[in-house]
Amino acid sequence: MSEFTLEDFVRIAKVAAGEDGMVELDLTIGAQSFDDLDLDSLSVVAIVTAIEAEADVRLPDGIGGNWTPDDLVEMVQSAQLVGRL
Amino acid sequence: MSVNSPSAGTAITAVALANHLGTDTDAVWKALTGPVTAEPVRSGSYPAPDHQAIAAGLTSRIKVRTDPTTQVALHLADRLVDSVGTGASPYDTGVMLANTFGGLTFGQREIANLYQHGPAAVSPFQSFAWFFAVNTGQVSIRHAFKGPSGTVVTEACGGLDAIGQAGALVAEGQPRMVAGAVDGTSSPFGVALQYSHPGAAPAPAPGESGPKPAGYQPLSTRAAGHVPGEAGCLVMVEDLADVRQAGRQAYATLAGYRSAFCPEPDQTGAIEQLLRDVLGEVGDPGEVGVVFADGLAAPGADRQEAEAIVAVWGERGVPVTVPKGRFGRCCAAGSATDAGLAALCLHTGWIPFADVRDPLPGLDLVTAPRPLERPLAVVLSRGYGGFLSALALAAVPAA
Repeated sequence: MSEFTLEDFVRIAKVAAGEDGMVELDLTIGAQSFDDLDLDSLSVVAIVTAIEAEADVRLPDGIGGNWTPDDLVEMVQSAQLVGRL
Repeated sequence: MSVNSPSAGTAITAVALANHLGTDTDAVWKALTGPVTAEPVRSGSYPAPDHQAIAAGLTSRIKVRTDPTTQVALHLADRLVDSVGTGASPYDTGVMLANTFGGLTFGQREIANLYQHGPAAVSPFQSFAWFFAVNTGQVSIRHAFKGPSGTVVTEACGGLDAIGQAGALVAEGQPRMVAGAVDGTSSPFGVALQYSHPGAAPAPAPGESGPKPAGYQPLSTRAAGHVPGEAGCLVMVEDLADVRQAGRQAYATLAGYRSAFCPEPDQTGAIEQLLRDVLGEVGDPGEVGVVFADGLAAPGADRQEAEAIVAVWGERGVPVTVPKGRFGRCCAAGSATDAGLAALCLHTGWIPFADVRDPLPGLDLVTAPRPLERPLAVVLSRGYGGFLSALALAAVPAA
């Protein structure tokens, strides 16, 4: 499994949460919070479970609206690293 | 038993329809009042609105979290808002919709995901997408409506019950209500459920050849069961004085609403009483220009309905129509659609007709384009298990 990137996040988020026609999910969103991206808590759950399935990692509970895509990508990369040890 | 009734000062100001015949009100209305061009709906089929066309107008954010029927509800609510706006304050508008199946297509897919791939494969949006109240909730969220809201579950009567309830709230001072139903479900489980209704036409076995399967011929001597389907009708209910003050038009007033409950099998007397009760509030039977009948198309049930109508109006004493034979019996959306069509009928002066041959004797069934000649329309609905409801709509009086 190659290292998880923001590009992967964007691709997965578009399918799992969809776009609302206001905020475009693209490579510029890395530092914005999920709240600012109009991603509600269920959208975040949908994205997180889709990432877990694809990257074969288990992410912690409590990923909230103040998190950013960059935070999540970093978390997935760490989990991937731990998985390889 | 009956419940409270809206005042005559409550009006329908917008009607949004979608069914097998079209995804907008004009298309459906033209199909039901003009020459018959669509093939009759037949047993074994499942007439439904064009979901692909409806989904094309919605964002992917909405689509991932909603059942196709909820998408129809959002589409119809958007059309109401296009027509009459959202009101000055979020608290001005409430939402009262009826439902039987919730988002069963979404639900069946996610239950299959659970069974085949485990809990992590189930969409988190399942938490609300399956639910009976989902259309009420999603319409409210989309337009930030914060008025009183609810979901009515009374099988086929639900559409009338929701509109009657909305009328009562407006009569008590609520400025406006979105009311009606989107109902039915194209999910395999849901279609099987609907064909298991004792009044449904027996569906041909898969691969079976032979004569064409029966059509939906309500109130006909040929009646051989109904064809289930999916449809939607939402209406905007407002205070007539407010509408006039704003210089807007109304299609019809909600003149009376009654509901009753009578266990099957024989509802003849209960239907007659219900019709007399709803008319007792608004006027003489002679003022009724059309009755939208329930038309289950089960011979015994249809005979009871015809007898009750004849008992109130006499032999061939009132024009009767049953347009749902042309787009399917759509649970609560069937009666909601009849109410919307009745409002348009009073507004335009034309009766949407039934594509039915060999009507039951004693009924003046409208089977070709015909003008409306009197100022009241009565919509009758019968729900599985014993629900009965009637709504009387009246032409808008001169200001």
